[in-house]
Amino acid sequence: MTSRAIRTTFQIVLLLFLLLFVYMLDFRLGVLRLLFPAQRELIYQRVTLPTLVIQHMRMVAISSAGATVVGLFIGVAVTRPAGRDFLPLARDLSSFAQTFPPAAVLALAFPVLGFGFQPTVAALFVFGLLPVINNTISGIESVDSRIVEASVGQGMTQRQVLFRTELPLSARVIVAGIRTSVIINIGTATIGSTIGAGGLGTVIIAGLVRNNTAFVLTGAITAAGIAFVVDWVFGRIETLFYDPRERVTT
Amino acid sequence: MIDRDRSVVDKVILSGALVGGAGLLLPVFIVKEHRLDAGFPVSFAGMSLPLFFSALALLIAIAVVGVLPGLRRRSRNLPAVLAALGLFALLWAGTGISGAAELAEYGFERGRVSPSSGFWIVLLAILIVVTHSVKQSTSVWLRGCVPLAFVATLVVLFVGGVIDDLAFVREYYTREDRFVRELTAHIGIAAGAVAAAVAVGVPTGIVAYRIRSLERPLFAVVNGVQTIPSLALFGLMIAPLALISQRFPVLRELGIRGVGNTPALLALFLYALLPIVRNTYTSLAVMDPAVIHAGTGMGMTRRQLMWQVEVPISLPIILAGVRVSIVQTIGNTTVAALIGAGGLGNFVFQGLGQAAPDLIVMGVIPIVILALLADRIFQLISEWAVPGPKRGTA
Repeated sequence: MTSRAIRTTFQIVLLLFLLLFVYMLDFRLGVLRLLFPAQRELIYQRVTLPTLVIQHMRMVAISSAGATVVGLFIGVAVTRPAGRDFLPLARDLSSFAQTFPPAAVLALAFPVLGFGFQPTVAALFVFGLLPVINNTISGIESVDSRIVEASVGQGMTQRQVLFRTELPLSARVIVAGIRTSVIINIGTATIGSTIGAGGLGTVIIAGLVRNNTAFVLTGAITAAGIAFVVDWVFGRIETLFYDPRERVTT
Repeated sequence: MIDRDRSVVDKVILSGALVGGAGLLLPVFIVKEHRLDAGFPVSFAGMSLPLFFSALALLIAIAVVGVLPGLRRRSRNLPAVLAALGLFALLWAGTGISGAAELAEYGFERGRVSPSSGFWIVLLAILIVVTHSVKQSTSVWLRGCVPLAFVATLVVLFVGGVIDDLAFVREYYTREDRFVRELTAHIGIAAGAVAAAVAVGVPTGIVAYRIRSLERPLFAVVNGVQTIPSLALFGLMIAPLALISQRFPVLRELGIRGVGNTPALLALFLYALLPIVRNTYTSLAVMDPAVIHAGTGMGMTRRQLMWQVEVPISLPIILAGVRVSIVQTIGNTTVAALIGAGGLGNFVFQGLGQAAPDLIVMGVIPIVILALLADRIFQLISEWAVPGPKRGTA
């Protein structure tokens, strides 16, 4: 088998396992009983696992969609002639902000916005912005200036240069930024349960509090599995776009 | 076309001054009778008029630097940085002193002063002006000293007792001993995890480069770890460690248990690997074969080649990886508090549990300062490690 085939098989097996683990109670019970024969309480009763998954993904979807739109806008704005003076600043501020631990951003959102779903989404949004901004800037910057000049020379307007030359050529890098942002958000959303946002962190925290490793593992396996699957999906999406490294030179 | 535009007005410095101006109008701090009091806001103008006008004067000075290109070119924005530093000192000292005065006036003996929107916005303005100005300077010396000057100002005010009434300083004084303990634990855990990651990551990077068939699987594992949410990885570490320590009582006596520092260290170590492995690999991949040939041609032995050519070339790239990894680890160590490890995250999550924002801020500030200091120090080290004539000393 080629390494690609091995990888695909591995991905399919893991996806199947994840689906069964989340949606088939008996399967999950079997797995956990195998791992923790001594533990009596294996299934978290208060909220079902599929509900937690939906809560989790809802937080991630809303915040990442917002971060993508706003991040793209900022990234494009600072690479236009009018906003170019702000480019180094945008880059520096976003790398400065990335030194803030996501857990800290989440914790700081709480005094401003309170407990629950909204502050978590807001914190995820802010934190998810940074990779999108960074990658939009580096994507657009990496487009060969001769191609941009050629587009201008063909009589394209500024808007056409952006939409027909710069964005399509940098799409791959931008999607990579969105991917990073989504993966970080899936991770940070787990911590969101400490401020009452629900999601998969809930069962992990419940397990930690009650010293029930089966709960901890249930949440950890599901969260990690979702992160892997989403990462693969984005990996596939990336390959749909033009790869600047495979540039044909004549 | 852009350069001419830039030489006229520095839009960034100017907008920094504008942001600061907006901050001046908003409440700088909130006077609270006790920890959970809603309190009442006080703005710069409400603190004292001389204070308000000095802050305004400093902002105008910054704006003037932004408008006069001649001044910027000759002095490399130094006046803007100095004015920002002045504003920084004014903001903290003003909040501390007039906050204390307000508390005394209302007789709030156990009262406290919480920084409010105006405070944070003026800080943001300072950040904009300083990052931008320092970025334009090529001197390593200046880039290293400016952040230090800001930290030093804060330390002097803190040691001098000027900001004692600030809410998060109050939170600090009520748990001074524990703070020192958690801070040491935080640094210890992060440093331990990164040290282990360097010890394992550098050889792994070399192996990934030398043995082509291992490249993909090694990177698949190291990349895969990064994808796992931090809390989930901490959780995944608990189960096997708990089992192992049940089986082998010797290990339990050594302190290896399912919860606590051991799973935290292990998880943080795994997280810290990627930047180090990747950069070690890259440093080898980008090495120009001509350089190696030249070394061999000069009659260097294998050992000389390694120590005099390969290591000096790859060291800055590897150090850049260590830098990314240490900043990340300092942040992730926060989450480790949830599985019973030590560190400043304990204050953050305790603050969340008690709905006490001041306690959260008290925990977050040192974490951010630690991350920034580590970032700066490693940036300077890796710039210093670049072989050949030193950049930026001219």
